[in-house]
Parts: sequence; C-alpha cells; structure tokens
Amino acid sequence: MPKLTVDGRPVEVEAGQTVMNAAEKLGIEIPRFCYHSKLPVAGNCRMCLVEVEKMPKLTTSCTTPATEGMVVLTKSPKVKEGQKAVLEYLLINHPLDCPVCDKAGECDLQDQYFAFSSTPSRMIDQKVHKPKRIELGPTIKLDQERCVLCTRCVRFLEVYAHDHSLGTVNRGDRAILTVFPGRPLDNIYSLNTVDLCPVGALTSKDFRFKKRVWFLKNADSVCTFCSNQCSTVVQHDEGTIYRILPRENEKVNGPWMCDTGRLEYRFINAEERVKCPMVRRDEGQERTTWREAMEAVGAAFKAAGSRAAGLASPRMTNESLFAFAKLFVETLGSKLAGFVKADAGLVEGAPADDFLIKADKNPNTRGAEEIFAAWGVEVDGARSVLEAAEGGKLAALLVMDQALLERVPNRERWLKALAKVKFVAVASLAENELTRLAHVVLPLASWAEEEGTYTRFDGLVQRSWRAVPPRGEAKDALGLLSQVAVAAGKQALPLVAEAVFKALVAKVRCFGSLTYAAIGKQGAKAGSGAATHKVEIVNLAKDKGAGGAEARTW
Amino acid sequence: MTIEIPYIAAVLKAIAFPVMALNMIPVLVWIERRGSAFIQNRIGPNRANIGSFTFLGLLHPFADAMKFMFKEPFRPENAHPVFYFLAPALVVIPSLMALAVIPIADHVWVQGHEISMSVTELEYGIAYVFAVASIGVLGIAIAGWASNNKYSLLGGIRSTAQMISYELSLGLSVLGVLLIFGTLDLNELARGQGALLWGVLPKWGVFLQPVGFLLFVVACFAEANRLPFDLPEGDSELVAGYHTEYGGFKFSMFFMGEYVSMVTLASLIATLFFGGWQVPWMTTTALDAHLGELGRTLSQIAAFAVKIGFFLWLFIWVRWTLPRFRYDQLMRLGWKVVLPLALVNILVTALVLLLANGF
Amino acid sequence: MDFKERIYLWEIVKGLWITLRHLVYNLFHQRSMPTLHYPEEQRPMPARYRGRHRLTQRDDGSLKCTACMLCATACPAKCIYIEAQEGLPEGTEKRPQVYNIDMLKCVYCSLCVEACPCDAIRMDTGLMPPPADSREKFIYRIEELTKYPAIKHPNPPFLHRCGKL
Ligand code: SF4
Ligand code: SF4
Ligand code: SF4
Ligand code: SF4
Ligand code: FES
Repeated sequence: MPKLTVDGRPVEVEAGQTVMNAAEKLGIEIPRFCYHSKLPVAGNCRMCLVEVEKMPKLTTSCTTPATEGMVVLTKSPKVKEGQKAVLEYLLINHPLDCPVCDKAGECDLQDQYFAFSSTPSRMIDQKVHKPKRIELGPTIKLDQERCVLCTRCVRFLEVYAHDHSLGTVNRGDRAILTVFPGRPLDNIYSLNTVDLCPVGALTSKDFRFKKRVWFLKNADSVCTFCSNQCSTVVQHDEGTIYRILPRENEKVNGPWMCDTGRLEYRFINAEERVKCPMVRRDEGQERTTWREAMEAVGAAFKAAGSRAAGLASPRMTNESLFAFAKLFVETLGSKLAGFVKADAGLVEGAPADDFLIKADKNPNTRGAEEIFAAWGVEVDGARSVLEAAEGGKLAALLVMDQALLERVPNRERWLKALAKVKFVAVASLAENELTRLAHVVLPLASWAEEEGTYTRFDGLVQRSWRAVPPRGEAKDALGLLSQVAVAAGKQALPLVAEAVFKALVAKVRCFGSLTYAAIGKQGAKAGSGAATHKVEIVNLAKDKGAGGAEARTW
Repeated sequence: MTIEIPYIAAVLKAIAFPVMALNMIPVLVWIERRGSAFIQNRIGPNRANIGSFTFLGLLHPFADAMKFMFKEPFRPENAHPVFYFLAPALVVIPSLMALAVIPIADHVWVQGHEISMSVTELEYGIAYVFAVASIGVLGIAIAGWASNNKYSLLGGIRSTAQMISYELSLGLSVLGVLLIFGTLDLNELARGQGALLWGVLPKWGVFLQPVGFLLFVVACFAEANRLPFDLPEGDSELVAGYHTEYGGFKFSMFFMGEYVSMVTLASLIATLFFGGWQVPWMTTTALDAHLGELGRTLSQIAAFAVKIGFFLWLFIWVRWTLPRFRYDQLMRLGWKVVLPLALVNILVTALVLLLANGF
Repeated sequence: MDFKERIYLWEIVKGLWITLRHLVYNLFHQRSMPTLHYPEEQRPMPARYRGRHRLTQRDDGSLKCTACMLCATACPAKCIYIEAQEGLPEGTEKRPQVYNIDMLKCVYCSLCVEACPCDAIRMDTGLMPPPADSREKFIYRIEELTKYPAIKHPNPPFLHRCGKL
C-alpha cells in the first residue's frame, strides 16, 4: 500500500491505484476529459497533468501509478501553465458553437476552460473544419468538429456493450471519430455515450434542441421499465419531462442505464393519455367527472360486497400495493385480490442481458409478492380472480394499470372472463383493449408523478420522488384507492406516501425497520447496515427535498 | 271635466325638477373633469365628437352615459342576487327625492292659484330632507355587503360609520338657523332671509350663523362622500370601495346618486345660509313691482342658480385641492370637533335669542 | 404646527387659492400646457428608443436567429418562448420553429438584445406595440417580429455621443 503526498497532504492508496485516484481520495479536483472511473484508462487528452517531484516533465495523473514516497503537486504554477496549454491546444480547432450546442451548460470543455484557463484565443488561422450533424444511428448525432477524441465513447461500447462500431480514424488535426460505413451505431446502451462525452460531439436525437439544460430541474427517481430498477434523474421543466439520466448508484446500475429506460418517459407527456375519468354509456365511453365516476364505482362495489375483486400491478409502488391490499382485505373484506406476475413463462422472449436489462419488465414484482403475502393474499391470487370471473362470480373488479393484458400468457381467456364481470373499473394511463372493455376508466398518475418506493429483485428498496404534477385530472394510486374506499362507503385511506410506508413496515416483516430517511437516495436493504449512513442520508433528504432541484455540475 | 291648475302644476313640477337635477350631472361631470385638468396643468378629455365638433369636451359625459347603458349587466358570482341590484337604486332614488322640497323661487300666481316653486311644500321640509337623505347610506352599506368583496365590505362599513357621525352634525349645525327663523319650511326660511341686517347686509344665515355654516359645509362634504371625506371609495386603499364590483348602468347610478346629492346639498346650503332664491337687497314685492311676475321669478331662479352653482363648484374645487383624510382623523373631526362645536353653537344661539326676545 | 395650521381652515383657503390660480392661468394659457395632443402631435423618438422587437434576417430572408435561447435565458420577464428545430442543410445547425414574445409581460429592458450572440434580435423599430383586444394578440410570433423594418434615424446615436450633432 503505497503512501504518497498530494499537494502536501499525505494519503495511502491501494497498490495499482493511480495518482488521479489518490487525489480523488483527498477530494482534490484534477481536470480531465478522457479519464472515467468506470472505463479503462486511455490517457490521451493530457488534461490531467500534474507535477511529480523528480520527474523531469509534467505527467498525466490518470496513467501514473501511485508509488511509495511520491510527492505530487496539482496546483503548482507549472501545472497551471500546462493545463492552460492543453486547453488552448484542444480549442485550436474547436468550433465553439456553444450557442447552438446542446452540451452548453453542462459541457466539461466550457467548465474547465473557465476554471483552468480563461485566456482568449490566439488562433488566427482558419480552423480545420470537419463534418457536423452526422447521423450515427437511430439515437445519436455526431459533430466531429466538437469531438476532443477522448475515446470515452469507444471504450464504453467496447467494454460494456461489446459493440465495436465506433472508432477513431486519421491522425493529427484530421483525426475523427466515426462508425464503419454502412454500420450505424445501433445499441440499446448507445445513449450512455452521450452522457460520457465530455463535449457536445455526441447528442441524443431525442433530446436534441428540445431544451437548454439550464432550464431543467431534477427529480431523483427510479426506472420502472425492468426489474433492474436503475436509479435515475428525471429532468423536467414546467410540468414536462425532457430527459432521463442515470443516477450513479453502485448498488444498482453504476452510472449507466439502457436507452429504453431513457426514452420511455415520452408517454407521460403524451397527449393521448387518459386525462379524465370516463364511463361507459350506451354507445362507447364518455368523459365525465371524478364525482360521477366514483359514484358509479361506489355503487358497484357496495352492491358487490364480498364479490368484489381487485388486480394490482407489479408496476405500482410498495405504498400503493400496500394500500391496495389493505383496501381489499381489510376495508372491503374481499379475499379476491392479486396481481399478475410476469414470470419467465408469461413473458417469453423478453430481452435480457448480463449488463443491466432484466427479463422481468416490472420493477416491483418482489415488493408485490412480499406485501401480498403479508396480507394473506394467496400468491396465485390472479388465477383465482380469473376463475371467479369465468364462473360469473364477480360483481365488481378494480384493475390497476392498463397493461394487465400485456403481462398475461392467455389474453383471449382473460378477455372472455373479464367480459363476464358485471362491473370493471380500470385505473389507467392510456387507452387500450382493456380500457375499452371497462365500465369506468380512471386516470392514473405515472411513476414520475407520484412518490413511493420500489423493491428490487435483490431486495433493495429504492425511493422515487415526484417530478411533475399528474396530467389532467389524473390521481396517484394512493389517492385513487382512497377515493374507491370512500365511494364504497368506507373510511378514506392515508394519502401521504411516507405515512403509508410506516404502516407498511409495521405490517410487512421483510421490510425490517426501514424508513424513508434510511433508504435515502441510494436505496437500502431491509436489515442491512443502512443505519450507519443515517446522519448523512437524513441531511441529503432534507437538503434536496423532493427530488433536489440543484444544478448538476460536472 | 276641468283639471285644476294646481294638479297640472304639481305634475309638471314633479317631472321638471328631477329632470333638471339629472341634466346637471353631465355638466357637473364636464366641469369636474376639465376643471381638475386645468388645476393640474392638463388639458382634460376633449376628444369625443360629433362630426368635428367636440363642444370643449362636453360630449364625454354623454359618451360615458351611452357606454354605461350598453355595458353588460354583470353580477359577480358570489354577490347577493337581490341586494346587489337594489343598492344602486337605494342610492339614487333618495337623493332625487330629497330635492322635492327645495324652492327655486317665491310663489307665483297662476290664474288666481298660488303655486310654490318646489315640487312640494312641506311645513317640516328640512326634516324631510334629512330623513330621506339618510336612506342613501343604506344603499352604500348594502352595496358594500352584497358585492361579496372585502374591499367593498370595508367601504360599506366605513361609509356607515362616517354617515352616522356626520349626519348628527349635519342636523345639529342647522338648528341655529332654524331657531332664528323659527320655521322648518324651506320656502319660509328663504323668505325670512330677504330682510336686511342693520340696513346694509342681507339677513342671510351665513351672517347670522357663521359657525353653523362652516360646520354644515364640512358635514355636507362628508355626507356626499366627496373628497376629503371619500373614505368609502378610497381608491388608493379600497380600489373603489363599495362600488368595486359594480359596472355599467349600476355603476352609473352610484355616480348619479353622488352628483344628485351634491346638487341637493348645494341647494340646502344656498337655501339655509345664502337666502335661497332671494336676490340680494330686492324683496319679492320690490321685484314684482319693477319686473313683473315673470321677470321676478326668472331673476330669483337665476339668483338661486348662481348660488348653488358656486357651491357645486366648491365641491369640485375642494376635491382637487385637499387630500383624503385618514380614517381616524375623519372620526376625530366628526366627534371631537364638529359635534361639540355644533352643540355649543346651538346653546349660544338659543341664549342670545332668549336674551334678545326677553324671557 | 401652530394654532393657525391646526385649525386647518386657513390652510384650506390657501390651498384653494393655489388651485384657483392654476385653473385661471391655464384657462387663458392653454397653449402653454405641457400636454401633447397625441396622436396628432408626437414627441420625436429618442435615437436609442427601445421599441417593439424585430428579428433580423439575412440577405436571403432567413432568420439570423439560431434558437440558442440565450435571450430567453436573459429575459427577466420570462416572456420569450422558443421552440427549436433542425436547421436547413445550407443554414445554421439549429433554427427557431416558434419564437414568441409575450408583449404583455415584456418590460422593454432590451436584455434579450444584449444577450443575443448573433445580432438576431433588435428593438430598433421605433414602434410601440399597438393595443389589442385579446391576450393572444399580444403574443408576437415570427411573422409579427419580422413585419416592421428598422427605423433610419436622422441623427444616429453615435453622432450624438461624439458631439457632431
Ligand atoms: S462542446 Fe462545449 S465548448 Fe464545444 S461548442 Fe459545445 S458547449 Fe461549446
Ligand atoms: S465523441 Fe465525445 S466521447 Fe467520443 S471521442 Fe469524441 S469527445 Fe470523446
Ligand atoms: S426587452 Fe427585456 S423583457 Fe422584453 S423580451 Fe427582451 S429581455 Fe424580455
Ligand atoms: S439570443 Fe439571438 S440567436 Fe439566440 S435565440 Fe435569442 S434571438 Fe435567437
Ligand atoms: S484524463 Fe488523463 S489524459 Fe485524459
């Protein structure tokens, strides 16, 4: 374990660590372009120059191994000189079209220029021009002029996505990043390269020109498109979501996430969403008010008594699942509740890989199992519901989430069974086959519009904050379930996620003694040593509140 | 069937007097606007025109009237459905009614019938005026309450308190004059002021009762809700007070009510303190002898018009000179200055009369 | 306050006298009042008057604006709304699809003009925005923003400044 000093401060690092790692351990900031803690070291940008005693020249800290007795200076005049020179060199041919560059505001080159150089350009010759707006593939556009040739993108694709489509060609000031002719960059992880790119060379076609980054506000969230549950940041402005970025979380996804998770936010903004309640009249469904819709639901559930049933969804938060089980088991006194689990048999051929993407496309299957078990709902509850429906024994059914039929293996059988139920209410985001069959459709808030926790397949409980208010008249699941209880003439259910979570922890044993504070931003496993970080996490939760709106710096 | 002359005269007067009073409104509005403009080194409204004639801006009040009439009759959602509409009428009707007993000239003789030159002649005329005028405050209070607006409510409450305070002084400050002339009939009052004082000065109330006159004028300003006592409206703090929620014709009724009560109060001041229709130094008999009955009546009307014209102008003039009182100042003035002074004034007058007439 | 002021009556008379003086003077000197008979009479616009906005154009008529949104960022009234789109192959990479200024919110500070890196927006039309009867009509779109040319000043501001005029 070599001991060394950086800027006069002693530090000890593991063998094989670099000077950069040592400085980071001390919290000393060294500018960099090509170095990334999760990628192999390339050492080609020269931005991370430091002075090491007894070395004749400045050296790149990201490639220099830390050795015993090293004396490193990161802020000496010589280093500063070197950093300025490197930046000037990088900027010689840089187009500096920041006003139209999507990266402006979160660009490492901009930030580091202001932090480490701030000297005017001395370049008087014509800059080298290279192609701009190149379509690299379905998701990405490349600007070769802006590229600083750090090869972060190349390394990421090779190491994590096993994709060798990107590469640099030519030399000197003609060097460019490119793909092989006729082989577009088409990879489910491709948008990670946009995050990685320290400059505006790679831009996401989805986000391109939609919004300047400094207008965006952040809300910490969790990706709900597969059971890997990547930690995310939802970036939004004035009630509209603009993009979703991964949030670094060692326990889950590192700094990465897949393109599906990044792009699936679009249905939340979509115009076609169910925005107000609808009831079925003689010909088709008509828009109506919550009041009228709930009167219909209430009448049906009162009449149904114990012949009422409910189908939850493994896409719901732990809190809403708990409220759902409570509604049916305790409030309505019906044992016919369940959720449709998407086990391997049900969703055959769902894509999965060894990196992030999991076959189960529902984020909270484990949470649903645990909570329903605690309420004494049989594991195969959905099957009983189906059988009861087929037997014509169901008078009222509440389905949470319109995607039910996409999860079941035998949808024909389900459709026939559902048609036999006297009253079907569907809480839904979008219209589909299922909502067309419903007697009442209730607008449901999406995951970005509600607060709650999710249990990952490995038992990690993660928290998600509300980013935007629900569209139209949509209600979050807790509010909706409480309305159903009230309509059925029972007591209202609690509406605040944290309160529900407390009740949940008290009832469901596998949640141990978790609290929102203990879960924090990084998530926690029940019974794991999360409490040791408690103080820090509490502070975080307090400072950043519901989805910290602070600007993310590089 | 012959219709008796007095009945015809009564009907004619009942129509002519309110019409005259209402017709003064546009003129007053015009004077108020242009006058205030000149006082403030502005030009004032002068654009409304027929063809290329603007009549010095006289058409603006008419344009306003048209606008008021054709605006949507709008009721704020939470305003009271009945009282909201009742309030403007409650303001404008009493102020018109109060005019009924104001004489504009001495009696005339038509075919052997003696006809008074007021809508009606009541023995207790002045009491009638005060009685009717005090209904107006109800209109304002109701308007403030029925609009369901916090500013309006404040305006209504202010106006109630203000009216109660100043109505008292209004009544008390004229008692001196009434004591001296020994009558409540306004025509008699005017006639009584025709004599000469020490052979030179007309025997006008203002000379006999200077303090009473000042107090009465102050109370009149408060009664008419004119600056410096326009606290029920208080534009800068209450938006427009009791009529914030009113627009169109209903607003114009408040507007008319204000101006008609200005006319009433100006006539009262003229009648009580400036000899009413008396032409100075000329009694009715003397005028009759020189000008004939028609000439006498016309000159008396002219004299009266000049007098109320001056006081109307005073209302306007003061408005553009003085700033608004603060509410506590208004109340202090009403209860601690005007009221005690009025009482002392009555006491002194009564004592003097007692001494002069012997016990 | 001495007794005379406290009585207030004398002060009122003094005040009335002042207003009467103004009234009478103005009645006979109407010409000398400072009021202008707008719109027949108009004060000349100062050379650097900040009028309604203008989006400048290139020689070929395309907008100079690159939809960088720096003006919208600088605007203290948050009244500029821009939607960007891909530029034409021959033009800049980015260009505005929607460019709206809400003139009811605008405070005429001209910070947008200062912020623009492309000289794409100016306030040199010398015009005041005309009245309109709906909020919609106060939202100026690209068409309204390119409708009026810049005014040519008889006395350009810089000449003023160096004392040549
Ligand atoms: S990459 Fe950075 S420095 Fe280069 S144009 Fe974009 S914002 Fe500007
Ligand atoms: S595109 Fe970006 S990440 Fe890739 S080499 Fe260029 S600068 Fe680096
Ligand atoms: S002038 Fe000021 S307020 Fe108006 S659009 Fe420009 S920056 Fe915004
Ligand atoms: S700052 Fe200039 S170029 Fe940028 S969006 Fe505004 S007007 Fe267009
Ligand atoms: S970060 Fe060390 S060379 Fe690029």
